[in-house]
Amino acid sequence: MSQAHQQELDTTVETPLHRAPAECKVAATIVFVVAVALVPRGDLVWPYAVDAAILLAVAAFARVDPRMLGARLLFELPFVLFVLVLPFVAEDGWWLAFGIVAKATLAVLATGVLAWTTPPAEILRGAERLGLPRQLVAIAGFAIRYLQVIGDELRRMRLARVQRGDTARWLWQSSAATRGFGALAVRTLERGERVHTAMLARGYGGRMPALQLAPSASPLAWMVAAILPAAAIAVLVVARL
Amino acid sequence: MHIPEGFLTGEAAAVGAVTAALGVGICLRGARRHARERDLPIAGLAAAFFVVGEAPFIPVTIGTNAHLLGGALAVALLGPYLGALTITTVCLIQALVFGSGGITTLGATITVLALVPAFVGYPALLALRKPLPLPVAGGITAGLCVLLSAAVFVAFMTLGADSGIDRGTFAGVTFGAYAVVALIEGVITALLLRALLSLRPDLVRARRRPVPA
Repeated sequence: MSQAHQQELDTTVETPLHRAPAECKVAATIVFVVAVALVPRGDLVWPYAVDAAILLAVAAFARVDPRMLGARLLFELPFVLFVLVLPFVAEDGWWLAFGIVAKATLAVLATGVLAWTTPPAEILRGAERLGLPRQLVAIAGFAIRYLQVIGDELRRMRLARVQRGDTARWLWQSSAATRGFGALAVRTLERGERVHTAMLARGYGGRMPALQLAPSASPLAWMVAAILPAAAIAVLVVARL
Repeated sequence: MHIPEGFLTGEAAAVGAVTAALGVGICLRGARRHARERDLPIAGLAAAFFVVGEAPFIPVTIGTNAHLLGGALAVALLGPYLGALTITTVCLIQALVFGSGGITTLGATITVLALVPAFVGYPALLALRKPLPLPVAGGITAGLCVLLSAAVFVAFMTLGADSGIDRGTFAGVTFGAYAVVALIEGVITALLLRALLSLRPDLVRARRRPVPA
């Protein structure tokens, strides 16, 4: 898949975790997050601490840029504010809120490590090998390939608007912004049509060629990838006892 | 409304997963039958558009961000099946690549964001467009979808939560916030539909369907 549209993930770091098969990493992330999510509610701190330590060890091994994880946590912030309502509407609300924030944070960090070690196209390939339906893979493939293009287009339109003196702050000032958004919608869908025409011109016959050039993961890779979720499951079992 | 990890009890997450699996299964089958093959790239680009459109988080009140949810717009543009699959894909990408929304809660997220517009919003849109112009009908549908999604969201959040969350307060807070979101969503959907209809009416699938007599 084209790498040109994935500038933000260009990185000079490469660790064994980056080279590991994508399906192992996707499966390990999902099982880890599920294991964390199943930690029972109540006044428990240590399961989250142990899971966080394991995850941070993996992150250190992959030499994850802390700034990148920090940016992801900022993304989570609005939800944390929402959780702070809970202590006022539920009994035992503080522990409830703590559990939710801990689980959400660990999930955000885990997918952060996945995104750091695996380009989006590879994540998609891993999900396909794990049995994601073909139509969803096709839609997601187009989406991931053109995300950067459309994001850049939106940025250019916003810049052009600001340069012409449009500095809308409030909803009722947003007519130029929404009109631009409408133009972007039209351009995006027309781009979809052109993409399809281009595919036909290159001999597309109703089926995407197989994405899977790399051989599927070896049993050894699966075993190594199982370490992280296995540790989380062990923590979960002990916490549930 | 991408539900973060840990918000739902195990029961609620399981119910969401089963609902989503059934609904997405129906949509996959329906899309295989009804969607034209050339719609797939358009659906993919639309998914990218929705991911980009979701990026600017405008805080409305505490814990609520206004951005295009896009469910009603997607089903109006691409039909109920492909539209729901598009939003499902958006949820998958948000959860796996961008870390917005949890993985165990993905089923509930997909139910709220993709299946409500497909199975309730689309019939409502077809019914509303008979007396009303399509952008207005789309806007009203979008607002309805957001409110209904908020209701389903409240149901998921309180399902199996035995720790005595005050349902009334919680529902009040959620609906109060989402009333604003519904208004914004309705206006944006109507404006986008109007823009599309004026430039490329053939891209709007709900328009291709003959108005039921």
